Amino acid sequence: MRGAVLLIVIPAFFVVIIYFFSIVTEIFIEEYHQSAIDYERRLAPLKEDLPPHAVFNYISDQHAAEDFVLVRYAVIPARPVRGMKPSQDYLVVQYLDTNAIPKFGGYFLKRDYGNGVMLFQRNR
Amino acid sequence: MDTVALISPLIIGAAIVVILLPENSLRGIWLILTVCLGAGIGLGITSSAIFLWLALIGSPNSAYFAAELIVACILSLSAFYRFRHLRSGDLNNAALRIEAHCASIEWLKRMFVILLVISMVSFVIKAVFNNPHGIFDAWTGWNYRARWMFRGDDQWMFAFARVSMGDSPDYPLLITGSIYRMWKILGNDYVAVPILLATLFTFGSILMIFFSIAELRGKNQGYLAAMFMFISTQFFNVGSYQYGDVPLAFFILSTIILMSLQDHYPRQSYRIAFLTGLAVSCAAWTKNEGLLFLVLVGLVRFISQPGKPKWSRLVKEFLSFTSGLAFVVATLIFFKLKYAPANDLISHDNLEKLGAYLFDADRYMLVLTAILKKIFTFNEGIVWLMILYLVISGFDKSRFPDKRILSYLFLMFLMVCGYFFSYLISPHDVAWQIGSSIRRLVVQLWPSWVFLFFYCVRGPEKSLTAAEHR
Repeated sequence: MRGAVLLIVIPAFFVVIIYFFSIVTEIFIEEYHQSAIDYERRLAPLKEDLPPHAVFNYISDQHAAEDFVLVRYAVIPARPVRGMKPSQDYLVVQYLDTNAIPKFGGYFLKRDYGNGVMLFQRNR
Repeated sequence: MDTVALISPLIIGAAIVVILLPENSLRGIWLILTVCLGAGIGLGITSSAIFLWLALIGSPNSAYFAAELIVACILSLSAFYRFRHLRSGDLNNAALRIEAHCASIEWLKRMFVILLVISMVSFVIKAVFNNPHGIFDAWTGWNYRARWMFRGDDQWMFAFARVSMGDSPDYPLLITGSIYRMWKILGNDYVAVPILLATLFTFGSILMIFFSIAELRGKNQGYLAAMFMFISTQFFNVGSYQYGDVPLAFFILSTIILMSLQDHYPRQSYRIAFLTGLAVSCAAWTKNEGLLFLVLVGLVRFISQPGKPKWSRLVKEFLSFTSGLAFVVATLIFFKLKYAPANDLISHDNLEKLGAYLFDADRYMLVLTAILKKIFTFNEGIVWLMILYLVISGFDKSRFPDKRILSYLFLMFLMVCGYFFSYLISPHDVAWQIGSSIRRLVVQLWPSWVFLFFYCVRGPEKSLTAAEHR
C-alpha cells in the first residue's frame, strides 16, 4: 500500500513545485499577462471623455476576436457598435499597428490619447 | 476590505449549517464543512436576494444591507441557541460523532499542508498578475454582466442583451450577483472581488474533498484525495480564469458529499437533505449545466431508489430537500422567465434542425470520440494515474454493498450523457463548440469523480499506520 501512496504523493510534490515555478517564470520573467489589463489601462482616459451611457462607433486594426469583447467590457456603461453603421455621435478608433491618424468624413478628431486610441466626434 | 463583504454570506451560510447540524458542525474537521459549504450557500442566498431586490425594488441601498445583516444576526443567534441547548448527551452520543478512524500519518499531513500553501500562493500569483480580469468568458459573461449591474444605473438590464455569438446572457447569476453585491458594498468594482471568489471556490473544493473523505474514510485517505487534486493543475487554471465551471464543480461536489453524509448518518438524513437541496439549487443558480444536475439529482435520489424504499421516509426527505432549494430555485425561475433570453440550444431555429442532428451518425461519432479523448487526456492523462493507483490498491469491497455509491456513479454518468446530447444538438459548429468547452465540462465533474474514486478505493489506513509504528 505504501507504493500506492507514493504514487500520489511524489507526483503531487513535483507537480506543485513545477507549477509554482512555471507561473513565476511566466509572470515575472516572461512578463506575460492577459490583454484585458492593457485594454483597461488604454481605455481608462477615454471613459472620462465619453458621456455616461454613450453609444459610439468602434473601428480597430486589431483582428483578434477578443478585441471588440475587451473594448465592450472596458467601457461599460458606454456601448460600442462595431463598424460605422448605424452612425453615432462618437467614434472611437483603436489603431495599434497603424501610425497615421485616420480621417472620417463628417467627424473631427476630438482627442488623440497617444496610445493608439482616438476619439472622434460628429461635426455639428 | 474585500473579505468584509464576504462576511454576511459566510455568517448566513455557516449559521444554517450549525442550526441543522449543531452536534458536530463546530468541531474538528466539520469546521471545514461549516466554513466552505457555509460560504458557498451563503453566496447563493445573498446573490439571489440582491438580484430580487434590484429587479423588484431598485438599486440596493443601505436598507438592503441592513436587512441582510439583520438576517445574518437572527440566524447566528439561532445557531448559538441551538448549539448551547444541546443536551450534553447529544454531544457525547451524537450520531454524527467524529470517529477515531486512525491516527493520521504525520508526514502525510505535513506534506498536505505544505503543498496546499504552495498551491494557494501559485493560484493567487496567477490570478492577480496574469488574469486579474479572468479570461474570455469572464469578459463576455460573468464579470461583464456584474459590471453592467454595477455601473449601468437604470440600464443594468443590458447585462442580459445578447450582442455576439460567444455571449451567454441567459446564464444564472450566483457568480455575477455575488460580484455585484460585493462591489456594491465596497462602492468600487475592484478586480480583487472575482479573484477572491475564484480562490474560495477552487480551494473550497479541495478542502471539501479532504473533509468528506477524512470523515467517511479516514484522514490519511483524505490527505491523499486532496493531494491528488493538487496534481490536477487544469482545475487550478480554470479556477483562475474566473469562469463559472469551478464554482459549479464546488456545488456538484458538495451535493454528492451531502448525499453521502445522509446515507452515512441516517438519523440526520432530513436535516442534511435540506442542505442538499440548498447546495443543488446553488449549482442550478451558478450555470445552466447545474439545472441538468438538479433534475438528475431528483431523479437518482428520489425516483430510482435502490431496493424497496420506505415511502413515508422518502416523502419527508423529499419535502426537506425541496424546502432547501425553494428560495434559490424560485429566484432562478423568476430570472429565467423575466430577464434571461432564450438559450440557443432551445431556439426555434435549432428545434427545427433537431431531427437532422439526432439522425446524424457522424455527429454522434464526433462527439463521442471527442469526449472519450478528453477524458483520457485531461490534465496530461491524469486518469491513467487513477487507474494505476486502483490496480495497486484495489477497491474497498466493504463499500459496494451500499448501492447508493453506485447511484452517485450513475449520476455522474448521466451528467456526461447530458453533456453528450447538448453537444449533439448544438446549433454551433460542433467541432468548435467541443474544442472551446469540453475541458471545462470535465472540470465541472472532476472533484466529484475524485471524491467518489477515493471513497471507493482502499486506503492507507491500516497498512501504513502499522508500518509507521514498526
